[in-house]
Amino acid sequence: MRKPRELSLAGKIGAYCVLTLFTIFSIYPVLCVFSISIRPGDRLLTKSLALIPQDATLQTYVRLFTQEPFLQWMANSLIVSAMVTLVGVGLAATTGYAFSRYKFRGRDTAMVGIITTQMFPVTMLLLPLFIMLIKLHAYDNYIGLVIAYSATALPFTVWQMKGYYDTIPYSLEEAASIDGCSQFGIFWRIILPLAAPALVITALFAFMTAWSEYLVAAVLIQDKNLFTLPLGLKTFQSSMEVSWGLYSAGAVIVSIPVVVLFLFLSRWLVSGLTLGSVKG
Amino acid sequence: MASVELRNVTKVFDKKVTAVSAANISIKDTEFVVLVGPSGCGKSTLLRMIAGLEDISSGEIAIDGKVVNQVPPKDRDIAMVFQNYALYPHMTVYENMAFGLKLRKFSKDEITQRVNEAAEILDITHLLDRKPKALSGGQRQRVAVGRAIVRKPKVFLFDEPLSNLDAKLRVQMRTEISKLHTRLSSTMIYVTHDQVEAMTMGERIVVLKDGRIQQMDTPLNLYHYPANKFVAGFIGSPAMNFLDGELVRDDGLWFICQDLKIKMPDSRRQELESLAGTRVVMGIRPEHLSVKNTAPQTDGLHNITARLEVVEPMGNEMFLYLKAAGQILVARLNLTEKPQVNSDIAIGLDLQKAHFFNPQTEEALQVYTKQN
Repeated sequence: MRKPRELSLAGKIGAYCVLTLFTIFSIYPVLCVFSISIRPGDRLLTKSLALIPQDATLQTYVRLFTQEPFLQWMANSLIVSAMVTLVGVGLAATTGYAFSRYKFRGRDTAMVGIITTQMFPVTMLLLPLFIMLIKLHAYDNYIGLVIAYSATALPFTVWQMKGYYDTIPYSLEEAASIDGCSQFGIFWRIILPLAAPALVITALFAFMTAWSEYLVAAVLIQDKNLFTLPLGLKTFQSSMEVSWGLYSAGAVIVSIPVVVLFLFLSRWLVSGLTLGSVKG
Repeated sequence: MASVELRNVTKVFDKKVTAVSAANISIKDTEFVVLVGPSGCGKSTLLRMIAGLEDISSGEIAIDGKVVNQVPPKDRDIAMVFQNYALYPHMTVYENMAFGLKLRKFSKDEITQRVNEAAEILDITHLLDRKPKALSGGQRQRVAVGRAIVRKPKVFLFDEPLSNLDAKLRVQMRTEISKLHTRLSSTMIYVTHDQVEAMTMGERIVVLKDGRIQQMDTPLNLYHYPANKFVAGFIGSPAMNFLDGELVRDDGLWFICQDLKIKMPDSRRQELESLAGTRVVMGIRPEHLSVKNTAPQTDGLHNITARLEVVEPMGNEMFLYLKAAGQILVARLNLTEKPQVNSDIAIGLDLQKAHFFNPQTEEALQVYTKQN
């Protein structure tokens, strides 16, 4: 393996400065939101530069969980996101494998067709999606959202899985078939474990597609009991005022599951998992 | 253990490219057969068809007397060692070796016993808990062999298993696989492009070119009685020297190649007589060339003058690259001193050992082929 290049002292200082700058750039908005969430009242702006104000309070968090149906929204989002993740990973893993390993008529056209659907903005797809889901009696329920989100996530994830499978040497499958594996056995016991990093990315992508989406949910969901988190948070904004405290507290809580999921899944994001299987 | 029979096996890719053409091979039980040939000759395709990894376009393959054309790889009771090892990277060495046995529902004790036994044979017991990425190339190849032998299959297939190893390790593994064959007394089919590997390991060798079997015989018979010019040139290192010329009757029998005029020895006159007046290719192995006075003057020795262009000292012997009659000749000699380059030297050709080939068909002319 190539040894990492040693930096000179000036180079190190420069690198750390740049990295610190970018870290602040990405963390500051999050800290700001957190800061707003612990300010009493709905104070969006302040003259103080302190990230944690002197009169900091967790009152908004208490209100969020006790006086608002936040847990209900969270449960809705979790259900929808989990279903989209399952459907997305299941379909992308199998479809990508078929595209990677099998030759069939129309394969290339199908691949291009799938990615072409990504080129349409979601606003353009909203109306046809809306009509279709009404006809499928999937309007204003979880199923409709799951179908819509899965359809949005799949093109990218299928391509991603296909690309990853392409890097797995075919001889591993041949060795497994000689060892006694069936076609499904090869996929299940050899290919899927090796594709773990791609599956993790797919899962994260599918989860986040559903977790933070607002526009499609706003069109497809009318029942307040089925509101997902983004829809719920929007209710804190009325025509006369915005509950910035609740809004920011909600935003902080919403981001936690994604961070936790990422931290949990990141250990599977090991590059070079196939290292050592075949002579490269 | 089992015999393997190939009857008119043909493989055509995409209805266009013929990779293997009507191959007929009969491999006896416990035999070690090597398929050898240059890149793209169809040797690996042939092996993959035996394994069931490639469909057969026409013909029949039988293992242990049973036709297996439609039998999937897992049910053929074969094991294969791949060129690139093909170890499962997410499994330890133990799991890699046990995988096939687990799928075949062997008991845990039986699996442990077999894996340990194989690990001991291959000296990899201390590596059983490691993942493939923590192994060297040689160790990975041992694990790949181990994965094959734990299954105790009817037939072992090796697809250029040593190509990725360095020269020293290759020689070591070569002898180990040969020892393994003796120990397991199993049928083994081994593919390589390296003729040295083929000669040293195979009980019989099948030489392939452009998807066709050129010759199938023991290593020594291939060397001494090549069926055609390709086999003659492929087997042996350095390769056989070839001279294009004509056999002419003129106070004896002469081989004429440009300004070279070589008199054929009387002892071979009778067998070559019928070829007089025809064009032939004479083949002579490098070790059958000698520097004047270094070989006993016998009936078959004919001296020519050649220009010495390059000398390659190998330690125990030297390779001399000579130019005579516009053709490059290689001599393999046992010399103590390095001769002067760019000088003319007298070279003796041992014509008793010369081979003759038809320049059009490249087939060996019957005069020197083995009489079965």
